[in-house]
Amino acid sequence: MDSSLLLASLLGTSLLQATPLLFPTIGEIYAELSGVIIIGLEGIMLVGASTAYLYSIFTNNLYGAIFVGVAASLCVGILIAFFSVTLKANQVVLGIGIILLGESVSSYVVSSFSKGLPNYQTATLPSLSFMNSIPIIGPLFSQNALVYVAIIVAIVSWRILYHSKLGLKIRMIGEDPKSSDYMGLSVTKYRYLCIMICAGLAALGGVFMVLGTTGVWVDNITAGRGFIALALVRMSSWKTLRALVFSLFLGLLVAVQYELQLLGSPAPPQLLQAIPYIAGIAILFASTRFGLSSQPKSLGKPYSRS
Amino acid sequence: VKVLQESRQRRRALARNAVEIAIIIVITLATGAILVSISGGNVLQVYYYIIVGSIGTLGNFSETLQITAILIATGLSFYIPARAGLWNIGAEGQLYLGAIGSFIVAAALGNNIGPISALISVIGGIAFGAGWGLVPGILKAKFSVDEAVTTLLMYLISLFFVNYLVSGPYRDPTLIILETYPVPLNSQIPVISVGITLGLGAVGILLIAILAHFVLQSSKIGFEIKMLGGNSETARHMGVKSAKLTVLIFAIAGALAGLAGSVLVLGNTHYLADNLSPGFGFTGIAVGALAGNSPILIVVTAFFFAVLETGAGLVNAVLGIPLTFVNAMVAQVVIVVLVKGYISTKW
Repeated sequence: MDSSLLLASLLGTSLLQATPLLFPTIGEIYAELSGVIIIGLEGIMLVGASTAYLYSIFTNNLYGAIFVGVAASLCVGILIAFFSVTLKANQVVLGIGIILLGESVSSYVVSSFSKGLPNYQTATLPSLSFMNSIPIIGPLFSQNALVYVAIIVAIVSWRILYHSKLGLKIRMIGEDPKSSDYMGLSVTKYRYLCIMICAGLAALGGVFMVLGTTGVWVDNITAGRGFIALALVRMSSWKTLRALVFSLFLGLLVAVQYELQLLGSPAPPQLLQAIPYIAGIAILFASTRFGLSSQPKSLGKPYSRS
Repeated sequence: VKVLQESRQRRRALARNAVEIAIIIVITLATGAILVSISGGNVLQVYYYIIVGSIGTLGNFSETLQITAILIATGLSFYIPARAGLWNIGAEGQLYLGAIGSFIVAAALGNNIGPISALISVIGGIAFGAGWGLVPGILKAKFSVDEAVTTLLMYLISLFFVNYLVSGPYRDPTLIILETYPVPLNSQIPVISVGITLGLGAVGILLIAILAHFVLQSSKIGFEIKMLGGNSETARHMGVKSAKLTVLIFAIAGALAGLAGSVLVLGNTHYLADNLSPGFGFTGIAVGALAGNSPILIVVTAFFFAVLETGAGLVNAVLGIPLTFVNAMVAQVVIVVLVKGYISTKW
C-alpha cells in the first residue's frame, strides 16, 4: 500500500477509536476530581447507546437520538448520585451494580423492542467531508461531528477544571470535603453536578459506538471501553489534556493492530487485540510506581458531616 | 457464659440476615415481574416456568445444584476480599483462567493415566485462577494500584486468551461454532447418582463453603481479614501484615473463581468455548453481596440465583423472553443491597 495512504488511514482509525474512550474518560475525571469514583461507566455508556439506537431506528432522527441517549444516561446518573452521595453507599459495589444493570437492561430492551423490525441498521452521523481533498491530513478532518466534540470537550474541560473557579471548587471538594464544607461549599451539590457531567459525557461515548460507527447494535457494543476509560483516567493523572493524548495513543495502538491483521501478521489476532488492555495495566503500574499520579484524597469515600 | 452469649448474638445476626435476604428476594422477584411485563410476557407463567425449569424435574434440580456450587465459589471469590475492604470484581476472568488451566492440563494428560487426572486438572485450574488473581493482588499490595480497575482489565484480557485457545490450538475443526474438542474422559469429574446426580466438584465446593464460614468467623486469619476491612491503619498497628495478607486474599479469591471455572469445564460442559460462562463471575458478586455478615448464607443466596439462571433457560425456550432479564435482576440485587447498608447504619 502507498505509505501516505497507510498513514492517513492509521490516523483516521485512531481518531475514530479514541473518541469513545475520550468521552467517558473526561467525564470520569470530573467525577473523580470531586471525590466520587464511578466504576459503572460501561453501564452508563450501554444505556445511552441502546436508547439512542432504539430511538433512531424508530424515528430516523439522529440528533434526537443523541439527545434521548444522553437523557437516559442522565437518569442513571441521578441514580448513581443518589446512592453514592445521598445514601453514602459503597461506590465500588454500586459501580458493579450499574455495569450489570447497563449490560442486561440494554440488551433486554433492544431485543424486546426491536422484535420483528425489518431494518436493524440505523443511519449514522454524516462525516464532515469538506476538507477531504487535502492529502494525508484530509481524512483526519472527514470524521463525524462527535469526534471533534470530544476533542473540544477535552480542551474546554482542561480550562474549566484547572483554570477556573468552578474547577478549583470541584478539586478542593475532592481533596478535602470537610474544609470545603466549612467554607460553605455544598459538597452534595458539586458532587451531583460532576456525576451528571460524567453520565452525560459517558453517554456520548456510548452513542458514538452506535451512531458514529456502523449503526448496528450488538450486545455489549462498548466492549469494555468504560473499563479502559477508568485506567486512562489514572494514566493521565486526572488531567484532561493528557487524557486526550493517551486516548489517541490507545486509538493508534488499535489502528496499528488492524493494519497488522490486514497485512497478515503471524501473531494471533487476539494477542494484538489484548495489547491496549495490557498496555493499560503496564501504564497504570508505571504511573503509580514512579509517583506520576496522586489521586484525589477523598476518592471513593462518601462525605458526611458528623 | 461469654461464649454462650457470643453464639446467641451470632445466631440472632444470622436470623436477621436471613430475613433481610428474604425481603430483597421478594423485591427482586417484583423487579423481574416488571421487566417481563415490559416485554409483553405473562408474569405468573414466567415464574412457573422458572420453577419447573430449575427444580421441576430431578435432572433440572441436579443442574441447579451444580450451578449453585459454581456460584458459591465465585460468590466467595468476591466475598472474602470484600470483607477485607478489597474489591475483586474480575472473578469472571479468573473463572475463565481456571477453565483454561483445567482444559490445558486435561488435554496434556489425555487418557494416559487413570481417573486421578481429573484431580490434577482441577488443581491446574485452581493454580491458573490463583495466578490471575495474584497479578492485581501484588499490584495492590506493593504499588497500591487500584484493584477494582486492574481486576476488570484482567477480565477483558482473559476473554482474548480464551478466544485464542478455542479458535486456534484447541479448536475442534469438525464443528462450525468455536469450541474445543471434548475433555478426555479420565479428566471429567465423576458424579454421584442418588436419584439426583451430583458432581464431586460441587460436593467439594460445598465443603469449602462450610470451611470458609468457620475460618472467616472464628479463626485468627478470619479476624485479621475483618480488621483489615474495618480500619487498615489499626490493623497495621495490631501487627497484621497487610501487604502479605492482601496478596494471600487475592490468591485465594483467584483460586476459588478458578475452581468454579474448573468445575464448569470438567463437570458441566466438558468443552471450552468463549461463551462458557453466562456471567457466573459477576453473578457471584450479587451472591456475595447479598449474604451480608454471615458467610454460610452464601449457600442460600447462590441457590436462589442458580434457580433463576437455570429456570430462565426454559422461560427463554418456551416464551421467547430474552435471557438477560435474569441479569437485570442480579444487577438490581447488587444495588438494593446498598440500601440495606444505609438503613442499618441509621438504626
